[in-house]
Amino acid sequence: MSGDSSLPMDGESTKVEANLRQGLQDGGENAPVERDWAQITLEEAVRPIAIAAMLTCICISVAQVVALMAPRWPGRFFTLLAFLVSLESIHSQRLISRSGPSQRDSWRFRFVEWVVILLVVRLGTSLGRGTQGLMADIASWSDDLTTFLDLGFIAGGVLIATLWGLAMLLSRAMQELEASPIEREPSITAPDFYLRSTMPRRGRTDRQARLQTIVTTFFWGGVVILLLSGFAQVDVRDLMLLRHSRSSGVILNVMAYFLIGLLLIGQAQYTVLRANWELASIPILGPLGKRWILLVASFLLLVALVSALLPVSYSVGLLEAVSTAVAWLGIAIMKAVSLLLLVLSTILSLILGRSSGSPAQTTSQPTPSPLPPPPSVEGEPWPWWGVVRSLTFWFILTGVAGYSLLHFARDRWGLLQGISVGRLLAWLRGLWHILRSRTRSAAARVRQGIAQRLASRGRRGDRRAPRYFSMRRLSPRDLVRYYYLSILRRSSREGFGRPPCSTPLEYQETLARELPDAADQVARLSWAFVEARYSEHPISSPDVAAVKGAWRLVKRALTWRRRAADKGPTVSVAGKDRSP
Amino acid sequence: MRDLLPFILGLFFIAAIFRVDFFFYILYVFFGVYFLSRVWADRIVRGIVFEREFQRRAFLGERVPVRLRLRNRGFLPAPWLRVHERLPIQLKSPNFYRCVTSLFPREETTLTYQLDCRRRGYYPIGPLLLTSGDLFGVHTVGKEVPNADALIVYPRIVPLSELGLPAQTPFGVLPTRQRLYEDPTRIVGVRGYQSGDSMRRIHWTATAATGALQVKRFEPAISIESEIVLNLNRDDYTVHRAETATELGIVTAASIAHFLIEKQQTVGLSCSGIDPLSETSQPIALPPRKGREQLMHILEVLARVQAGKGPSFVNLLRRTSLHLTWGGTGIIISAHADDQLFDSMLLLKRSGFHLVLILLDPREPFDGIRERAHLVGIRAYQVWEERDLDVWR
Repeated sequence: MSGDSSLPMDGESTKVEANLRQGLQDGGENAPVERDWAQITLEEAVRPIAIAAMLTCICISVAQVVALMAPRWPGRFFTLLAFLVSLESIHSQRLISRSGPSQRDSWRFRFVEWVVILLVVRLGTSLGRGTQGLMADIASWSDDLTTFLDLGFIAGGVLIATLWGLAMLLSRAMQELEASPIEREPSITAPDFYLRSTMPRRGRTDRQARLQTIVTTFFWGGVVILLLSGFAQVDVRDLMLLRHSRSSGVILNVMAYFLIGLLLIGQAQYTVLRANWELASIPILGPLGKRWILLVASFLLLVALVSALLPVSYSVGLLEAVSTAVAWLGIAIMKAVSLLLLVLSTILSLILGRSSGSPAQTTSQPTPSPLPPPPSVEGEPWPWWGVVRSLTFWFILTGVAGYSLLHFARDRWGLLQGISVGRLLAWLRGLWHILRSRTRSAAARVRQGIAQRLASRGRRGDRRAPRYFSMRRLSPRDLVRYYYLSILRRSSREGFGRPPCSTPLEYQETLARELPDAADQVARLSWAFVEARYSEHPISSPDVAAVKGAWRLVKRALTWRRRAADKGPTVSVAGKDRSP
Repeated sequence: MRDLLPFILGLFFIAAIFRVDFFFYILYVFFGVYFLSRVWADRIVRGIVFEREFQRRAFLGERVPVRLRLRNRGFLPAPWLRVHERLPIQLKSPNFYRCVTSLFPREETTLTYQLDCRRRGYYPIGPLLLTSGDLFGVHTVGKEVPNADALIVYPRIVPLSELGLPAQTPFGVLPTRQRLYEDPTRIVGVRGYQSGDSMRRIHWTATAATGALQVKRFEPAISIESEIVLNLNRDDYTVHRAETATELGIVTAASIAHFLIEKQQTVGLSCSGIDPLSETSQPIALPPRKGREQLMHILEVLARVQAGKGPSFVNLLRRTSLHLTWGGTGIIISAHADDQLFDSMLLLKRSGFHLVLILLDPREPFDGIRERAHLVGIRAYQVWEERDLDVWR
């Protein structure tokens, strides 16, 4: 019953289905239920007429365009023929699917059908030129049979064949949307259960695909009819240069095409849902079908009314309309500000006038800038109305285009949905962290390099320091500090340097123990350093000279100690007991 | 019509190129169909409210009708509304109820289906799934309403004789007219002072009110408190009999509780099973009370409770003694009686409690167990009959 021949099934599955179909025809438990009159009317009359009417609307547009190029082409005849051929195509498709003839009978059926159609097309093409034309054509066919195939006949034949095919396609798709008894799941104990379970899609029709076929055909037909109607409305030469003016008025065949198409799609959607519910054994409560028709009609009427209220043309361009809107907005703000200032100044003047007793002085009000003249709109009694209408038009159109683009991208490519703002922010944050850490490490390396270079320079500087060090430039206080620190440096070289935790006086004991012969000088040097470092009273040059003497002696004692350590036993400096 | 947007975009370009006013009108119509269909479909389900009407508690074998009242609170009609209610398989087969309907604004419809209470238990009803969409297949929206309703099916109550228990020999101790013992915790009234009355029994408030010495009258009883202690630890039962025996234990507990409440006794329940409504894994404990309200509490708990891995039954038994007053009766319903259980029972017996032991799945010959129990003064019974469980098979 359904056009399951379009299903991609292998041979075995086809056999299985054939068996099942045979079982149904033999009166199995899934025998088809009797259709009520409403269903019969819908399937046998309403749907075929609706499909034929849609295709006829396309044919009208074709005829309009062809009439511009070939005024003698019988457009009305082909329009009528398109309607009749579409009905015939639907009827023959239903007849074949219902009776299920053999392949041979089917070919014969189609051959006869097409011979009749082509003869009618040929006669119609000739009759377009009148009875004399027909007689002349018949005479020419008897002389030369090739004249039978002239350009008008071929073009008409192609048009009619296309519409015939589309009618069959739509009719078959609509028929396959219906729930077929063969699709019902058999009982688990039934012998067909296993066979059914091995069939593709468990023997069910892919209804969404069929619905998609109908919708796609409708859309492409809509594009074709719009293009044809557009070419019929607009001068093509102006269109090529984009200098054409706008066209207004209702195009009846376009309106009828889309209205019928939307009604048909609404009905197809209901058929799909109902079939799915029936096959899933879900009970349908209430008058759902009647309500559906009512709601589809009401919804389309509402949308049509709302759309009729919206502006469909513009007299001011997009940029001009936007600039005017911005200028108006600015003026509105200025007006509001000036009004506010006026109120404030009035209040202030009243208060000040009462307190001073003098008559209130009139303050000069800021005068708003004059309203810029709106762009000139031809044929408009009020120029601003044209701007408002154009603004509304552009606003709606931009909204429609923006919304459509956004949802188109979101529905098609799940990429936009996948990349949420949170993920993007996280990615940017991670990138920032990576960049920051790498920058920091690079900066640290640079700093380290600079520090190393400076340190090496410093070491070189230290080595060079004695060459540039001048004791004459030092103050007496610094000289004392220098003497002491010089002793510390030398003592540390000898291995008994001052630990950081010990004070100068504590270290004095250590130093005196290591250099017993110079203990007095060590004490003097230490006390002089303490005085120079921690006191504020002035250090005189004679004091420095005394410290210098002590420093020399300590230094000498350290030198002797080192030498003695290099050679052998320790020698006494003060007692002049020198080692040999 | 999900692929309407490419067509709208194409229409936009055609209209922009040709500058035909009517094309813009067609563009508006299609955009309106797409946009309003989406908005409509989104709002349909939001506007649907529902209410389930059914009797929340039922006895085994009852048929509970459920009325699902759906109301379209919104201003938009629902062209189609698919209702799918998930149900427990124990109550309905197949385990769902579904239908398709349509609702105009402010319209209300009532859907009805039946639930067969074939097994005791606590059964959440739902969730309810509502699915709807627009007229052209642009958008489909679904909403799952979480289940907030539940049906409690009480366990079966059978005459004790059917369980093989001695109906003539009551559990616990009935109130007696011989006022040998009086329970000082149960005051039943006052009377005038008589010579020999203890000073402790004087009711000073009543005395002050009447101007004459009044003494308290206590309920004459040895003990009328009973506590049913039910073992639902699945590990204590043999694998092949666990399901049957635990259900039999629940039926036995319910029947005994009913019997005792009918005799106006005080009954409590302790159980080692799992209560699906309880957030903690503590054993179920209902302190001894009187009256039908207590019976309903016990039956509700016994309806909900499920066998599982719980705390040790012996520990539960020891803890139960805290609920009982001295001289109370403990009715122990367990799978079998091992040494550990006997030790615990002996301790309770020595502490002054009366004990009755009912075994559901003994692993040793019952005669031996009965003899052993008899030696320590405990009456032992066995419940094995499975014909009482046929109803839920």
